[in-house]
Amino acid sequence: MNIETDSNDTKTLNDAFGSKGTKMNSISFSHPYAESIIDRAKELMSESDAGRALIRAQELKKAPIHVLKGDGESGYNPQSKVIYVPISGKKDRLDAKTFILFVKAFRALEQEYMGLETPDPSMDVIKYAGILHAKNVDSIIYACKVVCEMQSSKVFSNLLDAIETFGYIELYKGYESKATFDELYDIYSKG
Amino acid sequence: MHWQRLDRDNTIKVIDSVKSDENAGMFSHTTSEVKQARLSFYKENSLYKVTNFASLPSFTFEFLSDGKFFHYLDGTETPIYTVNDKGQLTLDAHNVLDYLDFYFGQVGNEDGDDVIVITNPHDMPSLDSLNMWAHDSLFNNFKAPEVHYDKDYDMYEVEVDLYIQSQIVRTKLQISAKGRVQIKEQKKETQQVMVTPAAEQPI
Repeated sequence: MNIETDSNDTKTLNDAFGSKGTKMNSISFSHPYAESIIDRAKELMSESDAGRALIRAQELKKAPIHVLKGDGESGYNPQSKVIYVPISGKKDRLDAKTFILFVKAFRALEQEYMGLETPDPSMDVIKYAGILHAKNVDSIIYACKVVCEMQSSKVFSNLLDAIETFGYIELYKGYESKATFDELYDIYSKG
Repeated sequence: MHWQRLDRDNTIKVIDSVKSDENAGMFSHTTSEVKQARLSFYKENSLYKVTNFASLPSFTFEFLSDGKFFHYLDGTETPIYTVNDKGQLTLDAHNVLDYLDFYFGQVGNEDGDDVIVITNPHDMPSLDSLNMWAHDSLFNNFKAPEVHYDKDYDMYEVEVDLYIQSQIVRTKLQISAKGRVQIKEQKKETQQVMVTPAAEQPI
């Protein structure tokens, strides 16, 4: 994938916007089934101690949860203090992949209050990447922890499939066999 | 895909144009970037990607736009069909597979599950995660896509391997001049390549 900065193509934008920009697009990002999807995600999270801790943190911080139509990663936006979770506009119910995204996003909120804060994108790129990976591995391990505590759940096999789909299965096995954080980080580093 | 980063002024204009009141805080002029990529099958519309790096993981929204109207790609067919119905789509035998790749990448199957068009098995995502048996099976069974134009109905008939719910399925599709995609036939001759079929089922 190639990336360039600016070109004549942006002339189209200048022509269209003029010099002041425009606000003619009224876009709704919110998912029509957001409420029931959130309820189900919290219901399932409550089946594990680690999940209940996440819910407590979210409720304590009063962080709104935005379920957005679309695709991609979930997370926490420290600017707006909002947890966001994407799910296809075609879906009307929670699936296991989205549940894992919920857990990671809730954990991202918790990270902000345990010293693992979102770094400034303008900081040194090596430091930025280091913090990024530390946050990422932490949220993945936490998702493994929640799933591991849900082994007696009716949806456990779905969750394990989701863990595998995301490529976290080796980390999950490591967590399950009580690997140390350094050992887990090695697994994460090997991709 | 050839991505081009917009300059600061145009980045701000795009963000101002797409941000909604309900999610205003999700977009920031200072920590977001906008990239644009041309799509071979659209005359004037491009793909826009708005990424906010203040969040980790950074989150991205994608839009189809002619630089004036922005259609949020929300996982449904609606934004794609809306742009197509404006007469923007120009399909030919060379770009119809690109269109299918884009379409399924955004929309998935009827339930919104992931669908990947396999035009080259080397490009298949998660290839590294396959075991040896699945890897060999994928390459041994791969068939190149076949494209046929039906002049009478002004539509393309494409036979291609699709990756759906952990399986590679040889699929016959019809794509109309307006970009409507219909699955006509699926051959369950191929193999399950991963063992995660329940990941996208409702729980």
